[in-house]
Formats: sequence, C-alpha cells, structure tokens
Amino acid sequence: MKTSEKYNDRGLRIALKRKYKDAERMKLSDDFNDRLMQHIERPKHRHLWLYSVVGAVAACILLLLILNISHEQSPKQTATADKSMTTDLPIVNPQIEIDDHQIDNQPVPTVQSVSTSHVNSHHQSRKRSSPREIPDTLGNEIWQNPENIKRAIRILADCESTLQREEQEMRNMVIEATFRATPQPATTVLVTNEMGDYEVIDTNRIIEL
Amino acid sequence: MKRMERQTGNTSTAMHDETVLIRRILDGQTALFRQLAGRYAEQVLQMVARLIPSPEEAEEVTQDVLIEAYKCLSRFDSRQATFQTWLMRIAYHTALKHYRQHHRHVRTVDMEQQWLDSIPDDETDALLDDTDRLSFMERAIEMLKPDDQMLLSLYYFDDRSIRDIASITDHPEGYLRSRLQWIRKRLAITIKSLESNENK
Repeated sequence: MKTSEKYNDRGLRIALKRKYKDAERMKLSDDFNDRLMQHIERPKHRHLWLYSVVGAVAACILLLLILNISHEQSPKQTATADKSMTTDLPIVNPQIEIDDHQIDNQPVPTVQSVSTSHVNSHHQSRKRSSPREIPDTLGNEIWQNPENIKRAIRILADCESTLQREEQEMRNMVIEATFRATPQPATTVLVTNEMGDYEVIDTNRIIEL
Repeated sequence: MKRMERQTGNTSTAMHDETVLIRRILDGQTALFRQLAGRYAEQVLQMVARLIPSPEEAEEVTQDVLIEAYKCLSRFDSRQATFQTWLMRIAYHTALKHYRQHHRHVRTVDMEQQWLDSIPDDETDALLDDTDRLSFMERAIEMLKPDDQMLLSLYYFDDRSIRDIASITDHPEGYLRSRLQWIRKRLAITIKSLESNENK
C-alpha cells in the first residue's frame, strides 16, 4: 500500500456503516453540557476548601509551636520568681503583716537584682554565679524600707499572674481556632470552664451526666 | 479552485477562532469551555459509541473525555494537530481503556502468518469489495480486537488519512499500514471460514 493509496473495499465500508448505524444516530442528553460544566467547575471549590483547611492547620501548628515555646519559658520564669521570693526575700507571703522591729533585727536581705523589666535576665544572672558575687545595682539600702519589699513582692506576683493570664489566653485561642477549623458534630460546643479555660464538650455527654 | 481557497480560508479562520477560544479558557474564562465542548461533544460520543453501544455508558465516557481534555488543555499544541484530532486521540484512548476495564469478552481467533499468507491479495480485495457478504463481514469485524475495530472505523468509516490515524492512536504510520493489511487478510479468511461453515 502506497502512502497516497486507499483501499476501496466497498463491501467492508458498507458493513462498517451498518455496524455503526446506531452509533451515528446517538445524541447527547439535553443536560449533558450543564453536567459537564458542573464537573469542571467543582474541583475549583474543592481546591479553595483544601487551601483553607491547609491554612487553618498551618496556623494551628504555628500557634502550638508559639505556645510550646512560651510554655517552656514560663515555668523557668515562675521558678525564678518563686525562688527570689522564697530564698532571697524574707517575706514570702504578701498577706503577712510586716513587723518593722522584726525587719530591723533581721540581717539585711540579699537581693541580686530587682530589675523587673526582664525576669529572664535576672534568672540568667542568678545562674552564672553565687548571689553574693553579683554586684548590687540598687544598693542594699533600698531593702531597709519595708514598703519597697512589699512593692517588689507585688511586682513579682503581678509578673507571674500576667504570664499565667497570657498563657491561658493563648491556650484558649488555639482551642478556639482548632474548634473552628475542624469539622465538628452538631452536638459539640465550645464552653469556658470555672478556671476561664476553653473546653470542647459534647452536649450528649452533659445529657448523660 | 476559488471554492477550495474559500474553504481553506474558512478552515484557517475557524482554527484561529478556536486557538483564541482555548487561550481565553486557559486565561481563566472556564465557562467558555462549554462552547468548545459543544462543537465536538457529539462527534466524541459517536466515536466512543462504536466500542461502547450502551447510550448511558457512552455518554459517561464522553464526559470523561471532555473533562480530561479540559485538564490537559494547556498541553494542546495547534502546530502538531488540530483540536479535533487531539480530542479524538483522547477519546480513542479513553474508550479503549473503558472497554478493557469492563472485561468485555472478545472472541478472537489466533492466526499464524503462514495462514494469512495462504490467501492471495487479489482474493482478499475481491472478498472485501463484495457487497453480498455483508452479514459475514459484520460478524468477522466483531471477532477483531477492539483496537483493530477502531482502526478500521477510523480508516474506512471516518475516511481519515494514515497520518491522522497515527496521531490519534500514537502508532507509527508504517505499523498502521502493515496492521491494516493484516486486518484485511484476517477478515478475508474469517469470511471464508464463516461461509464454508454456513454451507456445511
């Protein structure tokens, strides 16, 4: 068979025409184009949904990482604050009344630093050397006034409560973001417990209880 | 001559129009695909229906073909083939895949080359040209493998060139020529054997 040549085969052509007679008459249903376009446009929505889910999950992971870092830092900070309150300062409980005479009779408390700007730097300075070797930046005279001691305790207590509050807020944010980002059953609700923490609970559980 | 020139002009305008349409679809005007699909959907259905006679199933495969075409639209190159040929290529492969997946049993007879050589070319030509053996011919076509049936339909029914068929089926032109010759001989032998069985 040459390139330009074509077989005649009349009989075969007619047989094929007869065989494919039904196929030639076949028509598409009226809503074919609508269904086709629905199929074509559907993946777009799926992609949008997928992107939003991926975004929400990424945000959650980021928040968890941040929370984890702050969580790792906060016990140290709390410990530092506690230690400074219990060991270095004579008064541990701010509710106890301070007796001026008692303070006068006691040796002057050793405080390495009352810099309240950054608890961490205070913690690091404590770690480096023994308390007495660190130069006193404010001088011992400051602790002779009981009001200053009270104020120092108050500042440290404030610091701790701020840290705890921030941590709780962060935790609540993560719980809320996760709750909103993930599909939940209709019976699931987000509530605040007595400690102020967010909690995801199933209403069926309440009914059971 | 003038009519031919006018026809060529019309074809090139249509092709340009089609290229513009495809570019606009790729630029994000997805809704325009309805227009493009509308031009060829029926043609695709009729080609698919040659292998898959059930109208519902054929329509389902046609939809798969057009969805696939939409997904691969960015890969279409108008310098290599026309959009119609490109679409028929997807239709050919999708229909064959669907046919094979659904395990339709095809009764095929193994034939040795020696047996095929036993029938002279003149006799083959005469048998296939004869219009009195149509029922035998139809039965003989049914006994062919699906891809051979498709090759016959593209060559005889659609009257496509070997070059065009090569681009639809992804087979070299030389292979298609020899395959066509092989199918013709095989058909001739099957017709002869069916005829002799009938006479007995």
